[in-house]
Amino acid sequence: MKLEEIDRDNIFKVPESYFDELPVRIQSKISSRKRKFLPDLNWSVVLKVSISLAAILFFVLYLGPQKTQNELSEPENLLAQVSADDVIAYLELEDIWTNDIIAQIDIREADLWQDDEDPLIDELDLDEEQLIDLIDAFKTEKDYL
Amino acid sequence: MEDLEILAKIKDPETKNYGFNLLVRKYQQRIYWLIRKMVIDHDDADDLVQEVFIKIWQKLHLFREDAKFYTWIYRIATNETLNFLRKKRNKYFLPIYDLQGELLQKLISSPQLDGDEVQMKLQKALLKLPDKQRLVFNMKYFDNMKYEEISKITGTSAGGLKASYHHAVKKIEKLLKDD
Repeated sequence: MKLEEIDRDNIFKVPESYFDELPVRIQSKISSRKRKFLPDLNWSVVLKVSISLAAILFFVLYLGPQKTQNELSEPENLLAQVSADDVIAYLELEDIWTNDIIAQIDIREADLWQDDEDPLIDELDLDEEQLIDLIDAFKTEKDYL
Repeated sequence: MEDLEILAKIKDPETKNYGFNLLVRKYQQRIYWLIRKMVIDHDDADDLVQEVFIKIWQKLHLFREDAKFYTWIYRIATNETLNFLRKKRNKYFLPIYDLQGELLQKLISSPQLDGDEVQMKLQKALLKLPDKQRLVFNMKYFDNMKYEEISKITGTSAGGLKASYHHAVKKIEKLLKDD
C-alpha cells in the first residue's frame, strides 16, 4: 500500500467548543500565575523555623524574667538557643544574602587589624619619648628616598 | 490579522491582553493538532498547548523580529512536545520504558478518534518512528509544510529533513505492507 492512497484527513477529535473556550482558559491560567507572587515554600522548613521562633518568644516572655538582666540583654544568648540548621533555614526562607548581613554590621577598620597589630605594638614597649624619636627617624629616612 | 499587527497590539500595554488573545485564536488549532498527533491523548495535548502559549507569553520579549513569528511559535511547541515525550520515557527510570506501547494503547482506546481502518493502521505505524522523525513526517505529510519552514523550526538542514522524510515514508509503507 502506498501512502498517497491513504486519506490525509485528521482522525483526531476534540470535545465540543474546545477551541472556543481554550483562549479564555489560557488567559485565566496566565492571570493566576501572575497573582502567584510568592515562591513555592518548603513547608517543613516553614514549620521548623516557626517552632524555633516560638521557642525564642517563649524564652523571652516567660523564662527571660528569671534570668539576670545581663543575660536577657545579650542577643547572643538568645541566638545560642537556635541550632545552626534552623538559622540557615531561616536565612534561606527570608531570602537574606551575605551582602545584606555584612551591610548591617558596623565594621571599624581598627577591629579588622586588632588581632594582628596589637601584640606587635605591645611588644615594642616604648615610652612616649622613644616613640617620637622613632617617628622622626622614620620621617627622616623617608625624606631621603 | 497579520502577525506584525498582532505583535504591535501585544507590545502596547493597553491592548496587550487583546493582542495575545488574537494570537491564541490564530494559532491554537495548528499548535494543538501538531501536539495532539504527537502525544495522541487529548488531555496531554490540552495541558501542553496551554503550557506552550504561557511560554510564548512569558518569552515574547525575547522574540527577534527578523525571524518569522509562526516559526518561533512552532519551535516552542515542538520543543515542549519533544521534552514532554522525553520526560515520559525517563519518568520511571526504566531503560526501556514502553512509551510507544502507552501511546498505542491511547490510540486504540481513545473515544475521540474518527478514522477508517487504514487511517488507524497509518497512525499505529507512525508510532513506531522515532519522535523527531514522526514530528517531521507529521509536519510534511499532514500539514504540508515546506522543508525550508520545517528546517527553521527544527534547526535541521532541509537536505537532512528530505532524507529523514523519505526514510520515514519507506519505513511506514513497509509496516503497512507487513501489517
